[in-house]
Amino acid sequence: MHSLAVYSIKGGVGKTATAVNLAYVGASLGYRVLLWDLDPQGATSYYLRVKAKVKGGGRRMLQAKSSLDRWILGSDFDGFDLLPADFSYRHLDLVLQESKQPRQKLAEVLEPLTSQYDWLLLDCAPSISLVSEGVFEAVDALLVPTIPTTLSLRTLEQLLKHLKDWGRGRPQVLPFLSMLERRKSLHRKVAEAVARSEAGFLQTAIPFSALVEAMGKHRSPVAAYSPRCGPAACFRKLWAEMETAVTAGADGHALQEPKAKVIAEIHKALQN
Amino acid sequence: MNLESLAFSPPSSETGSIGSRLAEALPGAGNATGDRNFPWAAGKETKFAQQRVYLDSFDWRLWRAGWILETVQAGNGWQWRLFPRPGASPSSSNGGKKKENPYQEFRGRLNSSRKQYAAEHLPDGPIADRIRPLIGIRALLPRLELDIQGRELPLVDGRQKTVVRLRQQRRHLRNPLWAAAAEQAGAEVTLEDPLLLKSVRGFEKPLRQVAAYFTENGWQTQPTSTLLSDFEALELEPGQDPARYVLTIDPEAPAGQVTRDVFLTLLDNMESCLDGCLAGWDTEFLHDFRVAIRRTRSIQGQMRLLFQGPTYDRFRQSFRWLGGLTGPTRDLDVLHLKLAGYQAGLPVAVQQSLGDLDRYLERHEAQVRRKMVRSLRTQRAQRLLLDWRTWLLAGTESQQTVAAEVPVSQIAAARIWKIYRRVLKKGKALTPQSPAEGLHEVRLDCKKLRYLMEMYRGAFPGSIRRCIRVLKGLQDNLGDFNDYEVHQVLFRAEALQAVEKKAASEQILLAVGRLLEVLDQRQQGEREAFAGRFREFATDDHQRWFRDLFRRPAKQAEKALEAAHRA
Repeated sequence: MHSLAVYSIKGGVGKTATAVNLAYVGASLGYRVLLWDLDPQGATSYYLRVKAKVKGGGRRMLQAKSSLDRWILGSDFDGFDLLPADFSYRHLDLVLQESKQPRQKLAEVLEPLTSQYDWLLLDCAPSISLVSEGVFEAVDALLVPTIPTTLSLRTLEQLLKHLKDWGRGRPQVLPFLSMLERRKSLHRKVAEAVARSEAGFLQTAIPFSALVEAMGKHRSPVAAYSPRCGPAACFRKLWAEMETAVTAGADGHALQEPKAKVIAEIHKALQN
Repeated sequence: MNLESLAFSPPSSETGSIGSRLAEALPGAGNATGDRNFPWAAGKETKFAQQRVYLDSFDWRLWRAGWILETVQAGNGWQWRLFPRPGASPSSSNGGKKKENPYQEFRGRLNSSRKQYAAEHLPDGPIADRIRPLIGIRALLPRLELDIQGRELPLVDGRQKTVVRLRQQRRHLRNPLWAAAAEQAGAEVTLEDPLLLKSVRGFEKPLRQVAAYFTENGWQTQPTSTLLSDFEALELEPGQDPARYVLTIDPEAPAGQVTRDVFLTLLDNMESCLDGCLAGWDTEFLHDFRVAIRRTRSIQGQMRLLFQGPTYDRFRQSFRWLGGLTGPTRDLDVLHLKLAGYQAGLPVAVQQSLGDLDRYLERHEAQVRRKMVRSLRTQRAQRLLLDWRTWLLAGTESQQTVAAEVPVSQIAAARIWKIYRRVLKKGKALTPQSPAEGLHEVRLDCKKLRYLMEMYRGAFPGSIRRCIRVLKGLQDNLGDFNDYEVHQVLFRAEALQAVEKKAASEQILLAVGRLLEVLDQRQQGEREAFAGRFREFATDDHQRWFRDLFRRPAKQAEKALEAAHRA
């Protein structure tokens, strides 16, 4: 099983839309995909028409002796399952703190699922916390949606610095441009700078689109209600690129990773 | 209750959308308010189509190892999946990388869907790691193609969340190997499945409730189809190795009739391999085809006392011709397969030069194969198999001698006992100084003995297996001795041809020279090992095994034949 967290320190960058749409693409390609909605807001669960409620809450999930099986729910799409959110997830840090090895706990509870799924996706809450660190330990890669703005670049830089000395088990970092609006000059400049430099971004960018925003209305992935639209195609492309990167990383041939220094240079250039 | 899927046969046999069938049969169901026992609404009905292809080698190596490999059309491409066969404990071979859960399933993307895969064509990854050691040199072939078309109706709860799926589908099954061979009968079948209820994970309760509601309203549960039932629908027997067929023989049955059955079994083997030989799916088809011909020819010779008339002799000549057609292709197949192994241990420069020879062998093999295919497609070859079958099935008395009526266990024992004693006599007479021809004679007799014992093993239940095992030890030595000699001759000839046709520089002759030295040394090694192997074959215990099994029925055969001739 390959595992991937859609993660950003910053909020409102398109994490949930990315996680739901990518999980849908993976399942439509025939993979068995599990998406864990780790954000107490429960937006992913809402999109998939599932109540953001877990019996016993996050504490019971993390302290369970058996696997997470009992909380998994099938989505409306073949091969796409969900571990729903729960409002109690806001206290997950405290629960982790109580365990012997807080950072390893998430990886430990996910282990029994490895033979059931081909891909595990985690939709993370925006923050950098003990839960985030547990996620870093548990996954092969972090997919980081980055809006082409200075603040977004700055948080990416922060993340890269934080992970610099992570050591063994450090996840691959795969940033990509999210909610790109080419009519905005700043977005254009960032996109060009990222393309020019060796910033280690995936080549696929997800455009800002009213169709993606309509996920809340349709309560399903974009491709389920508009399979031929541009954003749906972009998510398919993003999956393909991400799959190549993650499988190459698993075989020990990770692609060139982004460096905090390069991101800092782009960030600085934009300020001038 | 299987909570993944259930099948129902509704009282009405009307076709159409699931929604309309549901509304007609159960007016209260599907509108979320009509029946409090059926509180779900029918969602949007959609059509779907899917293609699946199940791959395995011709002799079912994956199935026998407990695995199923399927390719599934998914998205714009194909995906392949390797999963354990239900009820089997699959071999967990993953190249010895790490311990793993044997019930794991593996999935991966395929860039293209090929009709067949040799081990070297498999895309690298966890699936290939597991499959390669199992299939060896056999190709993966499409054994079953499944086209599924149908409709799906979700039943949704108050939140519009799908809780159960109703599926109505038609499955078109096809055996591509038979279809390719233009054997249309039984190659395709279309099945209309009963209405399927598919569960959604975590929503098993609604599935149970829907099932109970259907049952209460007179709907009958039906068995769901399985991969095995699909194979059976196409009259395929997965796991059955077509080249390892053991004939059930009544030891008291007349030798003539049983021998016809032996010939028919071998003919079935030949015919089952023929398509693979013609299409060149993998080299084992030709190998098995040739083995069946060799066995036929050997038994024809050994059992000629049972048959009479010029037709039988004509068949013997024709099968000799048929075997000859396939020889050059098989020789080159073997050289090509063996070259890599022989090269190991030679200096790198020599190996590089031999690379030219390898490429030449490949081209030459393709040329010779084309010629063989043309010959096998001729009317003479096709008619031979057809006429042989007709002759075997006719079984008129005028074609048989009186010996044909003697019980098969006696006649077979007489032949086996005679050849066995000949092998003992000739083998004992051989010394390290004896010419190679002596060894070849023993080798040929051993082959005759082996074919007789294998094809008539059903007449000697039980202990014949240990006799075959003892013989095999000696045959391995003699076979290797012969192979090294034949391969030296062939490599030399091919290298000279390659130079003559300017396919390789004269440098190659030096490299082949080194190779021949290696083969010669190995042949000498086998020659020296013969005495020890023969001693092992002819120990007092082993001789007793053969004596106990074959001597008495052989004597009985002699008496029976004498009596028959007197009569």
